[in-house]
Amino acid sequence: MISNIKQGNSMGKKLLMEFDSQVYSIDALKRTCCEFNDNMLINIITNRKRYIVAIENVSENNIADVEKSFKCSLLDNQIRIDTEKQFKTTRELILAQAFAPCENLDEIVNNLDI
Amino acid sequence: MRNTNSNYILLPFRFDRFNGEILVVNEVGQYYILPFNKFKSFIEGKLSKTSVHYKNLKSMQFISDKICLPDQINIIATAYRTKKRFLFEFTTLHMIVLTRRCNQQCSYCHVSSLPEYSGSNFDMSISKIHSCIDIILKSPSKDIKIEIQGGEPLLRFDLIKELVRYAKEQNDKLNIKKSIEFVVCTNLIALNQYMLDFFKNEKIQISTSLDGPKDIHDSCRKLVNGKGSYDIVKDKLKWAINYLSKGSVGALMTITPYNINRLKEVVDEYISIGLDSIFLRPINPFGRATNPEFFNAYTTEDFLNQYKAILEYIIEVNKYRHFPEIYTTILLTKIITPFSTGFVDLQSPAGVGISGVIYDVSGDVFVSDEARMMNYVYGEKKFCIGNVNMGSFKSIFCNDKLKKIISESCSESLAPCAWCAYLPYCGLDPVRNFIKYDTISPYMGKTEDCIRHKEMFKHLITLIESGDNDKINILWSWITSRSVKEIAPSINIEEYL
Repeated sequence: MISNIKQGNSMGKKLLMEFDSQVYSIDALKRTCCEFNDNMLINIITNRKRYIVAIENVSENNIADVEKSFKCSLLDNQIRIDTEKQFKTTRELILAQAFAPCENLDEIVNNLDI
Repeated sequence: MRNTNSNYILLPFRFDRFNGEILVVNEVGQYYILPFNKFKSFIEGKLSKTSVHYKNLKSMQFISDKICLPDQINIIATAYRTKKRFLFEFTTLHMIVLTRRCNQQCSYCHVSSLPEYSGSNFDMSISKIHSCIDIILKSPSKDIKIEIQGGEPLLRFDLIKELVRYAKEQNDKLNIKKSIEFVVCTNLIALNQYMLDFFKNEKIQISTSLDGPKDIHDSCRKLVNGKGSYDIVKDKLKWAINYLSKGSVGALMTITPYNINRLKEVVDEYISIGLDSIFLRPINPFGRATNPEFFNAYTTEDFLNQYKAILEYIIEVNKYRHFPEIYTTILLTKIITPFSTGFVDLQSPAGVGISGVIYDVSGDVFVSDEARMMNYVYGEKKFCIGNVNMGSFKSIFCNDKLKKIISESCSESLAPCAWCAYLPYCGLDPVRNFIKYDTISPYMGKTEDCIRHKEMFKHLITLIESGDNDKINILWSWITSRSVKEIAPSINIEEYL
């Protein structure tokens, strides 16, 4: 990950961050941007290998904190997406068993790729 | 899709950064705290099977293997069903507005009640009361709570008596009788001996409002003539507490700009009057409370700071008397126990309609108190699901309108609630959201409700994890409604006196 701070307008600075698209998914990036976009303008540019995130009008005093918490949040969201993929089927089975229990759960679990 | 290098199967969980570590919470609200490096090992499937973290996480249903998986799925499913018990019970809380008139004109009244002299066309007719009861008794729930509301319901005590009489008479006719609990929500101003005897004989509970000592209470809760109501309320509240059986009288307080920095005085006032609990409730920004005097008068941060401080004080008080804070008790029950709380404002799917419902004087059925307020103030009937005179139980409670509201207020399907660690303890209020954000399901992550609840959950988990056994025993005494002495006989209560 690299980051860069560019001169913004009178409202604040522009924070530029670049992320490897092999490491982070666009879903994780979108989840993260949603957490930050209530008082900031965020642009995302993508190509095959990287995402460039530009956050406008960040106050100069805040910029290091914003960068740190954005990256931390992105990492957390990627972990969430990765782990959710692992237990998605189990979660669905739990909900199904909670409201409409089946009698052949052992058989269903045996046939799953988990 | 399993990580093939993993030593085990991950069961569903959510996580959050928590005081420098990682809080993991499973699908049914059991939580565990890990250092980040151990969390990394946990999600990579690399925890050693002999490690304490592995054993704890496995026993708490965060980890499984293929042999144990069906059993663990069944265990979690059973716990999930218990947590979502309110879905099986269906609507238990039925609020009936007997009159919109009130003998007080509180400056923050969220339902914008009308003056006492407004006329009986703002009262519910006896035929509509009967229709409400007929609908209520068709509810599949075997336990029913009927909350009699206003305005001020004591202005029409004759209607209260008829409501109770008819409900009991009709319930007696059922093959399988329901357990019916009655609560009258009153400001107590009109209370007299005759009424009190009726409440005692019929085992009817009283819920009233007290905002604190005289100057605080009187700053918002005024009589129609503009004078404060404190002196009358205090006398009648003491009278009712002494006259009725223990636990029959409760009070709610509203946190206003006048008491947010004086909550210790409010707690002391409650204790001096003889109340045995307190419910700290932020002001509802609806109705008259949207006036500049109240709207945004304190921030969520102000509230949280004061909440944490007063909670410490209440915990200290509990070292010599049982005096729970009810909202904290509800949140703790969600965090620590496997049970459903029945608290309609904080559950997923939302409790509107399916857990609680309100019948207006017109017979219109609204999904919550705020929903009827929307109709009074804005003429908005978006959350009206029928009328007792024109519909059956099925047409009111099984209609597409209610289904749509409920399906749109299921936190499990909303961002970012779906992946929030505190989801198993939380929920949203679609009506409140609609009034504040013009949509049933906004992006909750930055809303005041989300920030407030998330911080309260974090604070309570921090207290539980503090290692302070006295505090933990006190919090546990609140959840179990037992004295600290019963919970921890070794505690020497006298040493605190």
